[in-house]
Amino acid sequence: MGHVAVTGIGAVTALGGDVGALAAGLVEGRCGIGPLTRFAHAGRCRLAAEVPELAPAAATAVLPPATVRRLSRPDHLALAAAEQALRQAGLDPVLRERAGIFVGATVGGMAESEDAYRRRRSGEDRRWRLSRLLGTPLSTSAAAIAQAFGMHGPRATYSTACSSSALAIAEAATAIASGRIETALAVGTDALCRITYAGFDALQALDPQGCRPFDRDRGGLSLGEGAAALVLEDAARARARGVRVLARVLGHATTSDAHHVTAPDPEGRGALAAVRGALAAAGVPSEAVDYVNAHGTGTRQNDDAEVRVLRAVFGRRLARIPVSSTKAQVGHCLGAAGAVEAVVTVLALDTSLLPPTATLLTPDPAWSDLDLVPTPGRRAPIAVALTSSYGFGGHNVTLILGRGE
Amino acid sequence: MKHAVAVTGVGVVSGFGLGVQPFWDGLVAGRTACRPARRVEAPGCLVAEVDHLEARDVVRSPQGRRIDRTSLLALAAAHLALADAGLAADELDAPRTALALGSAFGNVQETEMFLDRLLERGMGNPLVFPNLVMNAALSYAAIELGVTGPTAMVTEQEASGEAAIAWGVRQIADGAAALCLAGGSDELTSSIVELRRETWTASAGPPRPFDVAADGPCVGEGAALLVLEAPEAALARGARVYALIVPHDGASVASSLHGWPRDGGEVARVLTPLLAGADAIVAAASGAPALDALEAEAIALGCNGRHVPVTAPRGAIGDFGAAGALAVAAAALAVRDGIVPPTAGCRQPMRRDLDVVVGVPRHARLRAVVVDGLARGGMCRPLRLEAA
Amino acid sequence: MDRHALFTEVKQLLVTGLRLDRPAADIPDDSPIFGDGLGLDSIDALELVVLVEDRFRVSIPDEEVGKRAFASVRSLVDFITEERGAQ
Repeated sequence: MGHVAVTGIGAVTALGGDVGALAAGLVEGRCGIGPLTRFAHAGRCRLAAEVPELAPAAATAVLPPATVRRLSRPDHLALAAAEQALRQAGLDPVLRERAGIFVGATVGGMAESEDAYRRRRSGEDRRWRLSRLLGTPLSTSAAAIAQAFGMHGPRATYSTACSSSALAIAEAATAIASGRIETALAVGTDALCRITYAGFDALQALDPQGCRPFDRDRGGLSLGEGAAALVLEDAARARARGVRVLARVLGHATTSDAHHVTAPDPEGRGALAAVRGALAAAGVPSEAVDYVNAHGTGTRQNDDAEVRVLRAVFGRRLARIPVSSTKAQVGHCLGAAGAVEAVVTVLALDTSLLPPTATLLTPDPAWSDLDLVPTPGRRAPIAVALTSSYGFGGHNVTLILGRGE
Repeated sequence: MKHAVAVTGVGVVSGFGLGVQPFWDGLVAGRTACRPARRVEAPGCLVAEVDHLEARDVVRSPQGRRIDRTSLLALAAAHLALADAGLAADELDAPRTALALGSAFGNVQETEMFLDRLLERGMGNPLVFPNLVMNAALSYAAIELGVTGPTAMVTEQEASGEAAIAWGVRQIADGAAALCLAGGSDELTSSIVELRRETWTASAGPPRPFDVAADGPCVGEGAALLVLEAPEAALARGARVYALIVPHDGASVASSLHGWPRDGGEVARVLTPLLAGADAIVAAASGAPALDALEAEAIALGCNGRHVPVTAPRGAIGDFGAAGALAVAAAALAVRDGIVPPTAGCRQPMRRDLDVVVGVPRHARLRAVVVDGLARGGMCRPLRLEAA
Repeated sequence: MDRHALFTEVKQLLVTGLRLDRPAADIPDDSPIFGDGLGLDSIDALELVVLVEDRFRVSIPDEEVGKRAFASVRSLVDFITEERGAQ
């Protein structure tokens, strides 16, 4: 590895419609968590990190109007993020033609289907309306990207809960590193839907005051929506093309807890194996890591388990490694989280600006020794960063990213 | 060929019953498992249901008592596949074992129940919610089998099974795992039948893939898992090898986003390299006229004038996202036995230049069998299986 | 409902229900609804079934009946008139 370059990024998140807005929001420590407005919800929690305004990607003009009408919100988010990344990477039609598409998602068109279901069951619609259900399958976002951008290479859609798009990035990197393809677009996309929101709320996993990762008084996560995209390509090819390399994918690993359908293994064995495996795959010792973008959801269980894993890997040195969770600002974007956080990490490597853990007031005493990057973040050149995603059901992915040059 | 991966076990649960034997017997005899419903509500149409499957017969872990049907189908097929490969779950080298499942819709039944309660009472049931994530089946199987290596849940509509198996083949070929269980699972619900009926996307009678009178698919359910290993490993433990699968990444072709490609020629271009020297094709045709016609054209063009025997198992096992995993299972069995099963429901093929196996099975030595793995939105996820 | 008003209502339903980008008055009475004319596909056809059934309280039991009824605006008006007359 190390031969996989990131040459384009895109993002649509609660902090705004593009990477510039994301970067500015991160640096300011702005929290994108606010009232839930997408649908009515009568539970404990009323907060979410919603995308403020979604402008359809210019590329949707390429699709027939009837098709565009049937796109789900995650389809639109994915197209917008993909367009930004492809534009930055300057991938021309010839390169796009052969590029692979790797998407991570969990909700797909479920919000739209929930409406259709309600209308059918109440009798408001006397038949099922297929036009409202076509966006349901998670794989339509990858299909939409392929059709809108003229991409006819391999494509795949992964759904492993919170690690979906981290897995998509890992798969894209593997495909390039092995020489099967030269360029790939890795995308994470997810939107809010009633089922997901109500489910997490029913599990008492949402913090009614907004998530506070690593805080002593943390009370759960905040759900978010969004999409992020990365163009990955063979590093030698990127150099030959003269395109700027924003960061490199040095290594990754994927493991399974085989423990519980929702709770992470408190011993963190699978998560630990993912971190160690990723470092080994990257050929990088743990001493080389100088920033960690945490999974950091803000639930008591996750943050406990995650710090335990980080201590096991880094030992006493952990206290000198900045660790921040950006879910405090963009929420937990579920299937999109891996890609959003990878983009955040690429930004940190490229700009030397470390994002803060924006809603942290009082660190939990169990890790008062750690550098959790209080707001407003800071300038610090970093060379090697680690980002992990832990999916419901124990599906762990760790990515090691390195500075571009 | 480099890096081809051995299939050493096949587990299937289908409308023909539990196990690979009833599945293969049914296919080879040209029977259909599409019949009047017993479990779901399906007035006036035929469906292929998996009967006699109880969680208590399959599930061993305490976690598994809450298992949903889609996950149960997958788990049942996983256990069958391991047994077929002569392996016990506790013999697996957990960190070097991978797991991949494909599903088009995951857990449908409980999603509806959850939504019903949410709409009615404004609250969701926290006990049901963990089952609703798309990767529930993956988690249940990983927990039941103790798999701690790489795992992936993939979703590619009608090619979900092929996509998962292709991922699994890569894990073995790349050395990321020593053994991989890969396949797919999708369940049937009354709502799916109702949806198909109300949107005129299913036939009232038995499905007739590739037939001139095809008037729609019949929906079904089922799961198939394969045990994948490196050929050297299979040899070392004296495992029986059904076939070798050649790694393939698939491709996208121009297509209507929510439907099928209009140009069979583009699909043919993707398939042609795999079809060279192929002795049989396992097709995705389900009796849906748009798909069947497109696929027939693609195969005819892709075979370049050669008449390659074609069989379409969805006439027997019904149409559902993960049916492609059963198609790959059928291909493995075809290679093992040198038999191309007839296409249940097909009497008069829609094209004369398409050699659809009709009525009786064909016996021949099969050096290579191709599963074309077509899905809506321009996805092609073909796999080539070769004689060991 | 008088026949002339029904023509207008059907055309309006096509425009708003299927989100056509043209004025209702521009839709000819006798050209095919499906096929190249209005740029509609089979999903739109299914959507139209729901819209017509809901708005006019008629039933379109299968694809054959649907095809005949949707042959043109005029055939749809005739179909609705007959169905309601029979009710």
